[in-house]
Amino acid sequence: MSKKITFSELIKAFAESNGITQQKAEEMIRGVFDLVIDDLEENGKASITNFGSFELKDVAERTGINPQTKEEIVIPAHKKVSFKPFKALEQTVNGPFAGLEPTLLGEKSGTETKETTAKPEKEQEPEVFEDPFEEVINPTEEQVDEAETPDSVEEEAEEEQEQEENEVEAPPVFKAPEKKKGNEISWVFIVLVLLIAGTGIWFFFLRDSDPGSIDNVVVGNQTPAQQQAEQVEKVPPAETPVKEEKTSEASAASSETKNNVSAEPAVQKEMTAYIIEKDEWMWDISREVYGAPYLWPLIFEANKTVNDDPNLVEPANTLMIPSLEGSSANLTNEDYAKLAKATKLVSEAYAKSGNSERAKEYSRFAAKYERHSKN
Amino acid sequence: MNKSETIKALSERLELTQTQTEELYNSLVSTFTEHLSKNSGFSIPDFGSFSSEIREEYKSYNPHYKQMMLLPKKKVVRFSQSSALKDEFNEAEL
Repeated sequence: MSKKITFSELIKAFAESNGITQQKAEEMIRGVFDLVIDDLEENGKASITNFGSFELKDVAERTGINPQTKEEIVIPAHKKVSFKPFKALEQTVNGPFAGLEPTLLGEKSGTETKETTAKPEKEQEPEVFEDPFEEVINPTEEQVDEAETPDSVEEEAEEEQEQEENEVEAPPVFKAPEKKKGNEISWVFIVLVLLIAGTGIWFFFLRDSDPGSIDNVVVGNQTPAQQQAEQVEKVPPAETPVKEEKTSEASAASSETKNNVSAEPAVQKEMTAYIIEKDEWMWDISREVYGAPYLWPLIFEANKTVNDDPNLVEPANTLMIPSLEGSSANLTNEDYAKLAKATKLVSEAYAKSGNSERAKEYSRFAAKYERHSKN
Repeated sequence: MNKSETIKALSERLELTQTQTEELYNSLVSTFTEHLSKNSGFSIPDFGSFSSEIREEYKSYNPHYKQMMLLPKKKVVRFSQSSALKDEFNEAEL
């Protein structure tokens, strides 16, 4: 699907962005790669800063089949230049899929290695549709709850503890990569131990000032953790309260950052953030957020440019969703005007990506919306 | 050869100052990166072509967990050497 540009186009683009002549630009590009070749000849490897490295590799002799004559031929051992992109390039190019993580499948056999579940780019599966908002909202609510009850320090600590425990028992809401699960459990364990020590010492100090109420709490919540805490309490309180505060603060902060991973950016201006699920297209997203799929050009306009292919879905990316003045069933003139403009852009984008039929279709839609906007 | 040596060699060839050359060099790399991330590959005559493509998700065995693992979709950069480049390094053997 990748369209290639010719060398002269590349030179032109490079020359224009730097205000140099095309001749100089060509000399520059050729010079860079000549140096790479020189380096490869000398050392067998070369690199271009921030781009990637080249290496000369030996390819062993092997037999192949001539696809035309079906004859077996021997491909002699030869050398090959291989290229490995540097991290910076890799990450920029992989931008659209940056949010995806590998997942463990739990299958022990290696029989299905060859069965790659390759799915076509535009596949739409409304049935399997999961509401990402749910996932986003839950953790934020938890956070709000936590923030709303700061009156008693000990309560907060308990809640935090509960949260940590939940994380151990139930899998993380946002499907964290299970790869790290082993580490996570041990990490959570460490935090738990710290919290227990923390609450123990709080109990110790609070009991001095107000013994009755605290005892009630302890009796009411006979979790094994707190029994342990009581034991800890009997041990001379070696750690100073200042240190305690620090550790609990640190753990609070870390649990918060953990939640933020799924919480993602909040509302910006009049736009709403939306995280694309796998195999979702803007059509589906529009149906989800506006209740009407045909409004998707608005989303396209807010996030893409003319040069993007409207058919390309980019999973695990965050899209901005512009808000409507009216509702999807009852659009205002302003909305229609916006929609007409967005649809025009989509039409142009389709034209650029070589889909002239769609381009025509959408330019017709744009004209229709424009008429509506004047009514 | 590191970057400063490259810049020096280039500046001599282009008859520009080293600062100018470095600016050009950096902008060249960002031009390449931009084109690759925009889905448009490019080719360099007598060297090879660069392109980016979407690698579909696939299953692979993770020996550490002794389990199959699903590796997600990724957009990767591919390089394919030109025949001129291939000949350059294989002349002696042929």
